[in-house]
Amino acid sequence: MAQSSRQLRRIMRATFDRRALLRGAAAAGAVPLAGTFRARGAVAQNTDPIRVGAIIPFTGLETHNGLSMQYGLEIATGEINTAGGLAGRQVEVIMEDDGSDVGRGVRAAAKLVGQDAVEFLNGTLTSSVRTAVFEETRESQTLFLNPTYYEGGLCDPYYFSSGATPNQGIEPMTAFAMENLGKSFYFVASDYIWGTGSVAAAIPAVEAGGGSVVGEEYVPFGTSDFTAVINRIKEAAPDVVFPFVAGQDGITFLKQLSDFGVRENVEICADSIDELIVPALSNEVAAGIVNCSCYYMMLENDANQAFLETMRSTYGDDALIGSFGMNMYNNMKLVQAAADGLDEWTKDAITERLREATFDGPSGPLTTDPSNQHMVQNAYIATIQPDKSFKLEETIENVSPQAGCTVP
Amino acid sequence: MTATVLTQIVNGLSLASILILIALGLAVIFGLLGVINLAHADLFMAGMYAVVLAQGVTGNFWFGVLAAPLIVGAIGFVVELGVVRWLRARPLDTLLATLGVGIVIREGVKLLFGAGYRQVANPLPGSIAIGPVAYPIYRLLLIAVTASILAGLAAWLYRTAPGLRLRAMLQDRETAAAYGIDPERASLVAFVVGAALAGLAGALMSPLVTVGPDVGIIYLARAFMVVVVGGVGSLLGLVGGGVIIGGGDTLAGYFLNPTIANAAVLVLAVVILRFRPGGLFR
Repeated sequence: MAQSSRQLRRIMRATFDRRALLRGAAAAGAVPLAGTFRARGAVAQNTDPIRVGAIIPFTGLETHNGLSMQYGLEIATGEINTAGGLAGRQVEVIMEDDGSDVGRGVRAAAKLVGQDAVEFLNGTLTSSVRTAVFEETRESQTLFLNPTYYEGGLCDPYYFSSGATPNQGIEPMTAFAMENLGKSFYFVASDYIWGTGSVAAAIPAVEAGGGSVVGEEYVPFGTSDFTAVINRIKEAAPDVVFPFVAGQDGITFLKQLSDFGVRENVEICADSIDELIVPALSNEVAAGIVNCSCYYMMLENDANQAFLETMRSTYGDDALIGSFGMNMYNNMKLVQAAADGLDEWTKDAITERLREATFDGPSGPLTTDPSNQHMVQNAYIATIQPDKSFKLEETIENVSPQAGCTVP
Repeated sequence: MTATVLTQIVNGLSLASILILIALGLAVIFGLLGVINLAHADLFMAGMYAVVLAQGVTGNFWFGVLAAPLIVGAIGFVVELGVVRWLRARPLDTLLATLGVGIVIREGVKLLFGAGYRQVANPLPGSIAIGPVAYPIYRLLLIAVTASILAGLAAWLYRTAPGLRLRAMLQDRETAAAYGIDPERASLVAFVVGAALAGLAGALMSPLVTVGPDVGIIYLARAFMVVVVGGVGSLLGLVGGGVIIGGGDTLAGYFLNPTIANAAVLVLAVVILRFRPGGLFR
């Protein structure tokens, strides 16, 4: 595995350099010759489109998020191109399916960076894919923007995240739950980096708030039977169950919790149940779940209304978007903000400007925190109503990201 | 304490019946035709979407349960005639071809229904008290339904003329043909029944699990394990495999944890196959 990943990296670098040289190296600050060419005036103003690589799970565990992420990406690209592009160049998007799988995600990144010579990457959903792609982009110094809330811990000069850190999702949720739902918690998580990392962030948050953790456990991917887990939850009798169970397993878990009557005595709070998930739940299962997210379709602001109008007229009235899709949009708009007034696109110029970028859009104001290059953003707590609509309970404004690391 | 033990026993029974239900279609096709049907997972998933469809049109879950074996059986009919029939002499090629058929079904469902998850509500919410334990009605019903399907299948195979023809064909294809049994027809029947059972299983499972185009695959490995551990080609083996895998998973899941249970059940299957390569009940 390590062997093949090294090979990939070598191929990535080799292809990147060769192509960049052939094209007159407008793209790459990584190629030292580029400066020489420009200094001689041999290369005129570059009008080639700026290529953006998107890594999206269109298949596998996270299939249901694929289209939402494509919508956010394409709508932003359309707006940017209509407004004249980035530093005068049009934007061209190349999408790759990672199949919610680490190996495919890494290959997709290698293909986008090496073969397609994209200027930056936008995407990845599962933490396992993100972490693997991050290792690659750090090595090849590729600009990489992450749209997905996650456990934190990734910092690099070329890595930015509009995806929330634990203190922007988990901590507001546990604080709200302790005030309104109950003090004792039971955590059930998928047995991989997102699940374990999230529980590791949630436990101190609960304990610091005077609550108690009466159980934590981890289930493998593809779990379709939660009866043993549910039995233990019943015995522990917590006030609140906080699941970090990924994708379809999470939905199965919620359905079975209801079947076994756990919901009669136990509340559910979450950071992963948004408008994309509720179509999979019956009204009885969905009603009463409290969730914290940095975006909902129901948010009432002008930018969101305009965005939803565009989305529905382009993709149909039943098109849905979740926080990942919205952050695909946000990432592109942050790059647009960074490129505003820039004469020539270079990776270092845009990265420098991204550190100060702001964008006020459908999910509220975003500002880059230069210390870790994650976003200062709002956290919204909402309760699912009996008709499966989301009712906003509380907005926590401008939460600074605590990524658990700083940019070196 | 008795309540906990009793709950675990019912849990084990429930999971065993679910596993047997899921594995039935795979076992029928594998046992009678020797074809490992890798499209099984997606036929199972298609059964879930038959419920989504029927529920959308009629508003009634139970119509979906009736429609699923018909719709998925029809898909099986087309797949047998169009693909499996032509590759029977080459088992490895059927493996690849049915894998491809599965992908076509999955992407077809995405085209028709979209890639998002769908909702199937529990048609029988609520619990019944068994002694000190309250258990969900629908799961108890599933145990009974699985038992009835097994009984029906056994009656069909061992008490009817088509069943006799199938068993004759399984024993010796050429000799059976010499006695006037049409092996092509018998194979078609076996494949359609297997597909219909996969569809029925998907429909019955849809209230308990996530319904989406990519969910089938997580059941394939388990179903396969049940069939292989129990012994290919025997209904009794299927029951034994289901009880061992389901019971083992529930016990290990409760007393250890779900991740270890996953591995433990796999180790159990390997150990059993080491000493009984043909399966436990063969």
